[in-house]
Order: sequence, then structure tokens, then C-alpha cells
Amino acid sequence: MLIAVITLAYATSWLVVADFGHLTHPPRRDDFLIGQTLATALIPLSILIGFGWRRDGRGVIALTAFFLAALLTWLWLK
Amino acid sequence: MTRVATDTLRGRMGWLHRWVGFLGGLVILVIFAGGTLTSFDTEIGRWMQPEIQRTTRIPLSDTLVEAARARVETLRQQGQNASIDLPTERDPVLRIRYGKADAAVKEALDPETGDALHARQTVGGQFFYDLHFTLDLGHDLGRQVVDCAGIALLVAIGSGLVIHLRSLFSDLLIFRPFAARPRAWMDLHVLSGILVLPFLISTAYTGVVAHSGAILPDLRGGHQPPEKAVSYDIPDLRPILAQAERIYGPGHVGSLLFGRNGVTATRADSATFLLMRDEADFSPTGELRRTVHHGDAVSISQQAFRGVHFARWVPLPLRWMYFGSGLAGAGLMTSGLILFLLRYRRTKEKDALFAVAETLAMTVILGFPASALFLLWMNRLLPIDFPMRSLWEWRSFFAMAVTVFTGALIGSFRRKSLFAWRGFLAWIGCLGLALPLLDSLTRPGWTAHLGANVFVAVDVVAALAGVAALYAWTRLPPGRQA
Repeated sequence: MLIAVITLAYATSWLVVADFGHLTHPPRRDDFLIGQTLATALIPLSILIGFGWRRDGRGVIALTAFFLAALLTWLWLK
Repeated sequence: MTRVATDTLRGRMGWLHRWVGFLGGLVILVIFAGGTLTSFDTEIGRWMQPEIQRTTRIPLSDTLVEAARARVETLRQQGQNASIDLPTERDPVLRIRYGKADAAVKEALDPETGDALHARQTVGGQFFYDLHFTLDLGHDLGRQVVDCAGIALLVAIGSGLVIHLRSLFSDLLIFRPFAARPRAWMDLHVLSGILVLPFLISTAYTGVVAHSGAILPDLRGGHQPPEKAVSYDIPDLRPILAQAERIYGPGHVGSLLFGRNGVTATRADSATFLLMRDEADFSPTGELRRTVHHGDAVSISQQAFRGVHFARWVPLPLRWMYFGSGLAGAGLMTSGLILFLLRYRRTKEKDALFAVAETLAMTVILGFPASALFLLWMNRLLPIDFPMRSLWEWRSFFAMAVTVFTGALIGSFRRKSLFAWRGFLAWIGCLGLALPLLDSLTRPGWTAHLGANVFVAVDVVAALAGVAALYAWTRLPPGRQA
């Protein structure tokens, strides 16, 4: 389960960076930097939430929802 | 996954803290201890070049600047990419830097005559910076591993906070060094963790952010083509320096870089809290072309993160606080690793996996100080003109680490780990306590520098490390386990 949480946390954070990077066309360095700064905090927080909030797998469900939201945002911006 | 006894938030966080803390801690302790020594990387580098005895910066003379220009010109003709590091309060001599980035030669020039100071080649304090930055695994892989370790540290801090949140303030007042062994280690772990919590969070987070591109890459892709190279002779550097000082302030020019089509003067990292990397570009004839200032909000926030982490701006007292906090953080991690071993020793002592865990923990906890002290010893014992001297210093560090690993492996698998713990503690004690003696025997004119200087500081810290190791040795009498 921990491996699943880490994978989801990383994938979500990576998508957050991509989302920020695609706010403008062409992508700007500053947007990526903001995304990287936020995503760096997001990975450990996601792991703590995903692993800690384990009742009925709620943490993983929440992380999956966040991942899908980030993915849809990226597809829309792209 | 291991089943937790009680399925509560604290129980789950306890499991996470234990395993992420132990597995990550094996790497994080090396990174953290390396970073702690990096607080004084320049000073350690000066200790490792005792031939350079100047302790204060003097104004740049025309003779020195001209000698530096001539030396760079010669190196460029030999195909070297050379640059000039200007004197600072921490390193008061001008240095010509050339060679590969991860094995650069930093040739020092005499501030008065401009002649090359024939100092020994050494890995210097830069070695600990590289170890902290990449674990010597190469630029890309190293940064990825270090970034992942930083994330693991943040997870361990977060889960540790959840575990101890209820008794955060009461634990601040409790330390029972003479209580039962697990209690004493736990007290040390919690106390050091609470005391340096802001430092831990800020250094871990800013460190990962500073190189977040290693694990969260910037997806823009594509690089700008390099500027067209122009062949030029190095111009007179005095007007360039004077103009750069008018822009950045006297003594705040960090280095002179010689690019493909001109000279660049950079602002010194120590000039401000923000690690700005501002620069002034000059043409091959020495005329100012442009100044680059990174002053937008995003850049400033990045510079602030880097300023906090790299601490190039901090005055000496604050630098010692960084060092002390780093030591406390290393104590936190050491006690965490030992608590993990204590927890499983009673039930798993006969398991091979436990022997592996103890081997790795011993290698990290005792191998790093033993190797660092051994590196300083070899710096003084290897002849000054020894071929490939820096490489042999580098090898000596890792040879000692392998020695500790081998000793720990044999001790753990033959269930005589206590013998190994005690043996290496005694070895560290001897290396540390005898280092001041070695320094006085191998440093020319050592009696002229008995005041507060880098040599005395390194000697005293090494001796204190030796005393601490011998104290731990006495607390670990034969027949008891760590």
C-alpha cells in the first residue's frame, strides 16, 4: 500500500508541475518553478495523508481523485 | 505490509516513521553529516592547504590582477576553461579555477607578488559539498537520490510530529541520559528533534526545492543554442573589476568568468541573503554590455530558498549555529537508527536481515566520522607532490568507509557486533584526539597561528569528536549491546 501511495503522490505532483508549466503558451520557466516548489511539499504531504487516512482506503481514494483532477487539468491545458 | 498492532493514526504513523526513518535515514545521515561539514567547506579546504597561511583579505593589487589575467590567458591557450575566484573574508586568496567541474583545480596566487602559491592539491572542503549534493553518484543520479532522501526526511518529520504532537512541549524538558538504554536514546531522539525542528524542516524543504528539477523535471524541453564563439585575448581586468565593484559594491564581486564571447563578473554569493547570481557582461575589449538582475517575485523566492539552504551570506556566529544544528540533526538521525536496532534486537537478532540492518547502520553512524577524519589524516600524510594526490585522498575516504563496512559485516554476522561498535568508536577516538598533534607536526610555522583560526577550529572540533567517541566507548562496556 505504501508503494501505491508513493506512486500516486509522485504522479500527482509531477502532473501539478506540468499543469503549472502549461498555464501559458509557450510554457514559462517561472510557472514551472512555482509548480516545482508546490509539488515538492505535495509529495510528502500526499504520502502522509494517503497512508495515514487509511480507514476504508479513504486516503488512497482522495489521492486518486486529486490525481485525476490534475490529469484532467493537464489534458485541458495541453 | 506489516500488520500494525492497533489501527490508529499514531500506530500507522509509527510504522511509517520507523521504516521510512530507518531506510531513508541510512542515506539521509550521510547527506546531513556532509552538509553539516559543508557549513565550513571553505575553512576545511584552507586547513587542507596549510601552505597558504594568509588569514585576512587585503585589497587586490594591480600586480595580482595582472598575474591572474596572464595565468588565465596561458590556461586558455592550453585549452582549459579557466575562471577567477576573487578573495573573500572566508578565503582571503585569489584562486584560478580550471578543470572539470567535479574535480576542479583551484590554484592560489600570492596576494602581494601574484606568484603561484605552491599549495598541495587536495579534494578540499568541496569533497563534503559534493558528498552532500550528489553522494558522489554523478550529477543526475546523485541529485535524484538526494532529492528522494530529502522527501523521505520530510515524511519522517511529518510522521514523527504526528506521533509526538501530544507531548511536544513536555518532551522538551525531559532528558534522562542515565536511564535504561532505549529510554535514554528515545529522550535524545525526541529532544534533538524538537530543538532543531524548524532547522530540519527548512533545510530539508529548501534543499529539495533547490534541486527539484532532478525529480520533477521542467518539461519545456529544448535548449538555446550556444552563443557564437569569438576568439579574443583577455583584456585588462582592472577596469572591469572597478566597474563591477561600482555596480555590486566594494568586495562584492565573486568571480570573473571567461565565456565564448566576453568576460562576466558575477555578484558574490555572500553579498546578500538572497543567492542572486546577478552578473555583468563585458565585451572582449572590456566594455560593459549589460547587467543581468533576477529581480522578479518568483526568482526572489527561489533565491530566498537557496539563500537559506546554502548559507553563503551568514556571519561566523550564525555559521556555527548552522553547524551546531546540523550536529543535533545528525544526533537525531543516529539515535533513530539505534532505536530501530534496539526495537528488533530482542526478537530478530538471529535473522540475517537484522545483521544486514546493523551492518548498514554501523557503517553510516561510525563510517562517516571515521572516513572524514581519515581523509584529514591522509591530507597531511601523503607527500605534497604525490601523483594524483586529490584522487588518493578521495580513495582514502572510501577505503575507510569500506573498512568499516567490512568490520561491521563480519561483526554483525558472527554476532559480535558489540566488538565492532567498540573497536570503531575507539578508532574514531584515536583519529580525532591525535589530529591536533598531526596538524602541529605537519603544518609549517604552526606556532605563529595559535589564535582563533581555521586550523585551531578544525583541530578542536576533531578532538571533540574523538572525546565524544571515547565517551560512547566507555558507555558501551564489553558484554552490553548498543
